[in-house]
Amino acid sequence: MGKRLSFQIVPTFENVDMVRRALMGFCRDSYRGEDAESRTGDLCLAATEAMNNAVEHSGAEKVEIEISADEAKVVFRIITKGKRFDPTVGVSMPVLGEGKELQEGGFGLAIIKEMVDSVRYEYVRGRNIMTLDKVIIDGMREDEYGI
Amino acid sequence: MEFNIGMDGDIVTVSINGDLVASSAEEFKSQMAKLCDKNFRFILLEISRVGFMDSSGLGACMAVHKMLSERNGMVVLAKLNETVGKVFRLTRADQKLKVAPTQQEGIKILHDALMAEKKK
Repeated sequence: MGKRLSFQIVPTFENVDMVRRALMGFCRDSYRGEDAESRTGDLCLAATEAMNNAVEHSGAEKVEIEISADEAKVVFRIITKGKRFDPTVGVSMPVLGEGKELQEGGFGLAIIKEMVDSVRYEYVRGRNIMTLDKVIIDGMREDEYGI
Repeated sequence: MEFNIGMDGDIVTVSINGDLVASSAEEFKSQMAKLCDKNFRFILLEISRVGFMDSSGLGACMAVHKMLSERNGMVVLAKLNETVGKVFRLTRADQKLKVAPTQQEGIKILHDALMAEKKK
């Protein structure tokens, strides 16, 4: 039997903090084994970046959040109404390091891609739906859990 | 977010307790700007009690680095936990910002920079 949590929030950074705390508790109940804390941190970071992105760029009055888990994965879904915006296209990590211009932003979407096992985007009836999956069991491939 | 500020000569140690995220990044930058305005240019950020950092928090650290570099100063981040350290490694910020494993090593880096400046 899967678990599920849902929120509808006004897009503010304070509400992002509230959802992240709930997600953290949800993940700690779902992940197991020695990687549990690491997987929790990874999904919480990706989800935070996705929510920050919605606060800053969506222009939506409300943001819907759905968190669910089954035996294979924890799924974080963020839904905003408005014009089509696919944040998953053409994102690469900005390059830092010696000789490079210091960059204070632009990492969010690249971090999302690094932190989770799957990122999907759909635009359905005026709703931007971004779905992040983080598997529970080590070594499980996408074709084994049907993503 | 709580700040605990200690001073030892020209070196300021700022211990941060709380998440360094989008909701707190502006407050953090504002606190650091106040120190800069008082001419403190060598700052150790002790962040072992920062439980969570996002890209806004990272951006705020970079802003502090930039602010102090423009004043010929330096910021060193000390005692990153695993979660925060991952953000730094992933973005390669650990190659751009000075990071020390312990507070003592961080203070030594700042002390050496301060001595080098005084020799000029």
